Amino acid sequence: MSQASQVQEESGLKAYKQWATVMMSFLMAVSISACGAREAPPAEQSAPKPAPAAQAPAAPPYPTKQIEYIVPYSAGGGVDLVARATADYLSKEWGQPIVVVNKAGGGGAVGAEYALKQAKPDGYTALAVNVSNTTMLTAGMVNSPVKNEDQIYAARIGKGTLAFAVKADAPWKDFAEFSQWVKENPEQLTWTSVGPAGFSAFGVAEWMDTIGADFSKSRMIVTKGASDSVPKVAGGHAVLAVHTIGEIMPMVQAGKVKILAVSGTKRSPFLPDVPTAEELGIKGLTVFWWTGVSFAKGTPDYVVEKWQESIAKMEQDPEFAKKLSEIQVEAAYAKSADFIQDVNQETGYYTDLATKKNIRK
Amino acid sequence: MDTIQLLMDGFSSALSLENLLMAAVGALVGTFVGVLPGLGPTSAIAILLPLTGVLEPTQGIIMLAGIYYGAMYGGSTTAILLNIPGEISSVPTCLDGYPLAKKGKGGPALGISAIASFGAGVLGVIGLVFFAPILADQALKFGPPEYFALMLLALTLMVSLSGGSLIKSFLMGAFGYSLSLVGLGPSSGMPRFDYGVSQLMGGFDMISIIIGLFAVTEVLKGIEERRSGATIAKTGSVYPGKEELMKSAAPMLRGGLVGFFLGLLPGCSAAITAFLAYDLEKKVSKHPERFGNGAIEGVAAPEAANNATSSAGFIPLFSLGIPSSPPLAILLAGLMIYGLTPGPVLFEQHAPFVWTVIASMFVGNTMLLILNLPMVWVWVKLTRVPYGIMAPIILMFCTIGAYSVRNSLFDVSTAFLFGALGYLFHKYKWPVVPLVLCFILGPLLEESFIQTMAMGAGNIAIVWSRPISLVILVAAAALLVISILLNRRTNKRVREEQAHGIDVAS
Amino acid sequence: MIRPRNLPDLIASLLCIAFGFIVSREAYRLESYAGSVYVGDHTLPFLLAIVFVVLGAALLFQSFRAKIGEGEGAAHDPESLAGNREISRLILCFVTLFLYVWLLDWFGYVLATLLASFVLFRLIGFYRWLTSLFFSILLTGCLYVVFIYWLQITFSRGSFFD
Repeated sequence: MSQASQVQEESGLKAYKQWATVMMSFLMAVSISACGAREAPPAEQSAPKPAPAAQAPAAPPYPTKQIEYIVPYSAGGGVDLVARATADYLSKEWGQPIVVVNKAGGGGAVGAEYALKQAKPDGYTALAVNVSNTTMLTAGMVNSPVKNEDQIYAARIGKGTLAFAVKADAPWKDFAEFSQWVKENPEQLTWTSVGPAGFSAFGVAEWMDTIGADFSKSRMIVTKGASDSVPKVAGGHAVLAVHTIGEIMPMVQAGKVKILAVSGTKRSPFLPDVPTAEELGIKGLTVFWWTGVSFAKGTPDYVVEKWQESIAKMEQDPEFAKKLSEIQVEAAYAKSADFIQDVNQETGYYTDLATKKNIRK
Repeated sequence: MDTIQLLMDGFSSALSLENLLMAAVGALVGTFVGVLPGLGPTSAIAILLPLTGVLEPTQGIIMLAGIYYGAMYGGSTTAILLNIPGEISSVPTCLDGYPLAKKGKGGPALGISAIASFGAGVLGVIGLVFFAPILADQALKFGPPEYFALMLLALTLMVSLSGGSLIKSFLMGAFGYSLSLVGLGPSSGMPRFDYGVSQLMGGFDMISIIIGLFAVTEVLKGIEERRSGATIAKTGSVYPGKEELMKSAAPMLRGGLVGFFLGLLPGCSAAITAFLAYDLEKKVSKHPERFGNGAIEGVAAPEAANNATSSAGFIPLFSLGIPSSPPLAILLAGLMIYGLTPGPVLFEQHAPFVWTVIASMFVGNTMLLILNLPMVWVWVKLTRVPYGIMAPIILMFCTIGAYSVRNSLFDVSTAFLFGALGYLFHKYKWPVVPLVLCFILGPLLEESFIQTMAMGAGNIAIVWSRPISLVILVAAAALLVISILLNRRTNKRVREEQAHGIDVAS
Repeated sequence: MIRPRNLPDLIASLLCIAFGFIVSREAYRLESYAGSVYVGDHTLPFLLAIVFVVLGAALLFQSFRAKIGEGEGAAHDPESLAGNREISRLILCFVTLFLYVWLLDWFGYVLATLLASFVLFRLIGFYRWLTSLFFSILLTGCLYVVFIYWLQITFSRGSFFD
């Protein structure tokens, strides 16, 4: 017994020694490589990084290495597809790989947080933004994890029109009739959204506000997104789904749902037969979906300019235009300054709306 | 008939050399990726999505689809041989596959799982060919109350999966649910259990937890036991005997049917159907106590179910554009990149494309079988690699697997942390399967509950006032009673077995 | 001799009860965001908190009551099977893994993987210096080619090299 424990103790000691040597070597390797790493870069970096004062006249070459394009949603959504098309074009244009990295979670906040706060603001981490993880996030939460001040909006790339869809055999003839019904029976309206501060929620809140119906009496059915909510409307488990046209289209073509109206001032090129809400006398529906690219605060100006220029050029490319129309997104380029202005304006408007409708928490 | 004609045309183009090659490459890559811990179909397809830029649409989709069901199959290989499920839906396969492998019957178990996968895959594709539009319509009738009832039904599984102490099983289940709660709350959109940590806002990723609890834990266990080879030496012949085939024929069919019909429902992942099929088999069996100790039926049923589910998922995807699981959502992205919007219009406008892809699924499933029966030896050889080499490699793969899902190092830490937890659970005999099951079901249960309450304007009576959900509820109640009775019997049997000195894995 | 056997369960049950209270606190916090008292994000946490406390208490009770439980005895076996040496190796292995995650962020994928796999080969496989080095270089190289170069998984470039 005692012998056995002695053996064990001995072997324990041996293991400890072994570990100690391993760890020592580990640490040594670490420190060596660390020193090496510290010494090496300055020599390299001194060239592309001149003193700040000298930066103004000649912008350093950009990009000189791979760029990460963070999409804060999982692959396959509208934001992701636009980002992939953009990355495709720009990698060819600039001759440097642009890799789309999906960092999903937290309704787009996790990826945004990473790109804006954790990554270096050196222009090699871009963020795909859309209406949900910017203005609506700020409007819906008193203390949102990412704010407009944290980022520089470089360019808007595309937008999507809002469509109001109900079950294919629903009794309402058009949007005006439906609005009238909702006004009279707000307690019977169920609509789908990813959450109280989701894209659909703002669309519904604005519309109900416009027609004078009581938003608080209607009921929200929480879903995971369009692929989950449109089938619910088609199956009669919810009355109304508000999404972009591209998200509803397959089910419209399947004859399971119908689109009563689209928002905006003119008809969508993808649905020329569907009237706008304005044509039917319901004015003031402004909520629309957009996507673009932004950078962390502190990113050099030449990066933002480069993106803005190249994206402007990209929007003229017929190949890119074809890709956009395939996913039913309209081109809607806006340069950085205009984009920032639009976003700020929108934030103010949504915050008011959210406060009024008790969405903001 | 029109459909047959179209299908035949599809076959003739699917059998072209190029498309055959794509299906083979897809199936191979899929199997390989599925074998690696944590790299399941979702990450495999997501990683390979950029390839679609190079390939023609038909070829690209054939390959992605091949990866999808190849990965589904590959996951079971390591589940059986190493007790490491390559992806979540292989967890039930571990329960009986690994004990079988320990008994030296790893070969037949792998063979049966290949055959079950093939049979169910073909069943699913036949369903896709002939009933796609009708079935898609039926799936739409499943609303929140029905899902809620279905989730309650799945909850009864906890009782039969406990394998020992019911209290521990329920506590682990509750722990699994709690973990699934982390992240944004569905109804308020407010972060829950985040304590100000931004990564927690995104919640825990299912894959990293599975990797931790199974793969990392298994490695840690191996270190403790100072294993020399990765696993048992003997695997036996790959080709199952007549007796085994006879025994698993019925479970395969039942598992396939369960997997197929539940697979039509969006959100019912292969993991859920595989668990349900496993449990069904256990209930139907005359000797439920054999389950968990190496019952071949326990391998056949979940394998058939998970493959049937993955085939059935194509029905709502192609006919309505609804992806019913994460890998299909990414496949949908692949379709969208090509400008092929799924829906009935896809069948009309791109008929050759659709039928070629469908035909290639038959081809792909056959290819999986042909490739895999002989390939099993390769995987078996893999397990003979000395443990000292294998373990670090597995850990490195775990790292990549956990990372690649969301490109997050947080997920990697989570995987390692759960590896340690899993080790402790194993040591003190706390069953991990209820934890995994509840973690998978948690979001669905909560969401369907909240949706149901919103639909019923705060009145839960809506659940039993709708016919489909009422039937499911009654079935759940009946199952609960049966489970508790069976559980008692099984526990008694297990105790008897233990008294005879047989080690019963929990 | 009876108490120690139940000790793991006793500790676990206490942990469960504590966990129940943590969950219930969160449920209480979430209730303020919900429109209804019964339905909302707090419903499930609230139920779970009850489950934890009640079942935790049941387990606590059981851990005292069960004298020589048949199943409980088995829990003791693995511990005696694995000596202290194995336990310490386990812990070292574990520490290495966490260091690895941390290093991934600092050194980038290649260097961190090289170091971590080297340590793991030595720890788990007891290979000699050169063998371990060889294996780790081979492994890192393969992983790099397949995942980083070919499949384009983007790991951190390593903060040291920027």
